[in-house]
Amino acid sequence: MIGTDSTYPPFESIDPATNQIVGFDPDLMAEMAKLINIKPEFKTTSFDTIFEALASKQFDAVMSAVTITDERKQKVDFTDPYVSIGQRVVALKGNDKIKSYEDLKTNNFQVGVQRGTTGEQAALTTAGVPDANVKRYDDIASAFADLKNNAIDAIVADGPTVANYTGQPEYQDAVALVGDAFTTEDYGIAVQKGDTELLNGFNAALAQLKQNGKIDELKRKYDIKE
Amino acid sequence: MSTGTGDLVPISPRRFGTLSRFPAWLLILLLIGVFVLYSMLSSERYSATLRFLLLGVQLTVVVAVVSYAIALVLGLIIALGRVSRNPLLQNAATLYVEFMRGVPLIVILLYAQFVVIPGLSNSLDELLGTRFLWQRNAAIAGTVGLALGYAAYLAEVYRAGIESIERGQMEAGRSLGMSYRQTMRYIILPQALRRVLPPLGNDFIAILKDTSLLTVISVPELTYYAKQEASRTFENFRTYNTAAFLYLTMTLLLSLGVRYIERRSSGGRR
Repeated sequence: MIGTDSTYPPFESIDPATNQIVGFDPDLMAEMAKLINIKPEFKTTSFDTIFEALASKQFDAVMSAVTITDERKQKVDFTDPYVSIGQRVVALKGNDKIKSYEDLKTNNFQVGVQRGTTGEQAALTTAGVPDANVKRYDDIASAFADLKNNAIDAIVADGPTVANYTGQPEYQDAVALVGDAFTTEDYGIAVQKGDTELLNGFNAALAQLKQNGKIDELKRKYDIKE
Repeated sequence: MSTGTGDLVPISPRRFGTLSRFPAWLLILLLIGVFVLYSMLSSERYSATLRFLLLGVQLTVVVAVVSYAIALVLGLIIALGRVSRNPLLQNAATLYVEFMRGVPLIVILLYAQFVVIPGLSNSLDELLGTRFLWQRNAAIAGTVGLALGYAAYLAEVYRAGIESIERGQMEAGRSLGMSYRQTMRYIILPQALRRVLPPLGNDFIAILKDTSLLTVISVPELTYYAKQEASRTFENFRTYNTAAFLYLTMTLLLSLGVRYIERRSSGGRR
């Protein structure tokens, strides 16, 4: 059983046609399952408690566009990185006061983030937004709904995901990406602390899929640029 | 009283003396509360969590009080519509109650923040050239959502109270030459309100707890801070203990207040 927050395209989202969890992560896991003897089943859950759920053995692994961080390593174990991304800013179209992430701390701008993510950290530390102006959401979809309604001024989240949301028909006329990625982060799959059997299996499979170009192929399929 | 048989001795209500009236549950809760508070304050990390969560208490109380006050007034108006003999008012009030009571509060709140308030605020701003931007403060949508939802619950409480007053009183009032409105205002409502004070008080406690739902639209109330603390420290046990402690402190104080009002209002009649 693999935990995931399926509001995070292109890595994981619910396909409106089939109601199945689809995306880069499920595809990659399916490729890995061919190499090691597992039957992965994705289960959707909320991100802010995802590591607690893994530590309390609700899941065998978490694959949910998770950045490897030292804080999270205290709670769970991570595989080798399988993709690198950076945080990006998205703002309302026509807001010419936000030209890069450095402008977020000015003008009392309200910045939406998803609770418990590296986007929250990046907004607070790298971009220096005051804590009171950082608005935390349970999922990034709610943040986009608020941004479109002009309830907040910007969103900070993983680059490929904000790029995906920004390209959606409901949002492409209202919001736009601002500047380039301003952090570098690696995604890994999280497993329960001490579960070396699963960890070694995942790492071996990831190494092979990196070697044979399968990961690069999936990145092209989902338009994920580093 | 004296039937002459002499073998039925009624049990005196004073049998347990004053002991039976002693609120043991309150003493136990107080002792637990003092103990928990003491252990929180003596642990550095607990008191850090407590200080952080306290940041959300003020907004929790403000939202609860304001939305309850609106719901009290709106609920009474709807209840008067519900018992009205005017079919238009009666139908409109019933429609409101059935709709609001049938939709979960959390859905009402999502509607308020993502649909109603932005739509309303944007069209007002367009029409009047103002810059209200009500959607910027999610506490507004939260307060409105809670108030509209609870107005339906409270309307039913009021209606139960009004309908519990004997029909004859309305007839008596009318035959004395009072209008429907006067009879309602001076005879029915004062008695009905006294009867529904306990359930009204219960709904205040309920609305205070339901402010925690506002976290889904990112209103920085107590639960919002609790989730933030839990996600940054990974200390769920400590964090939610503290949140539960703070909610219990508020609801127990309210509960005592409700009991006091209840006792006072029924004082002259028992």
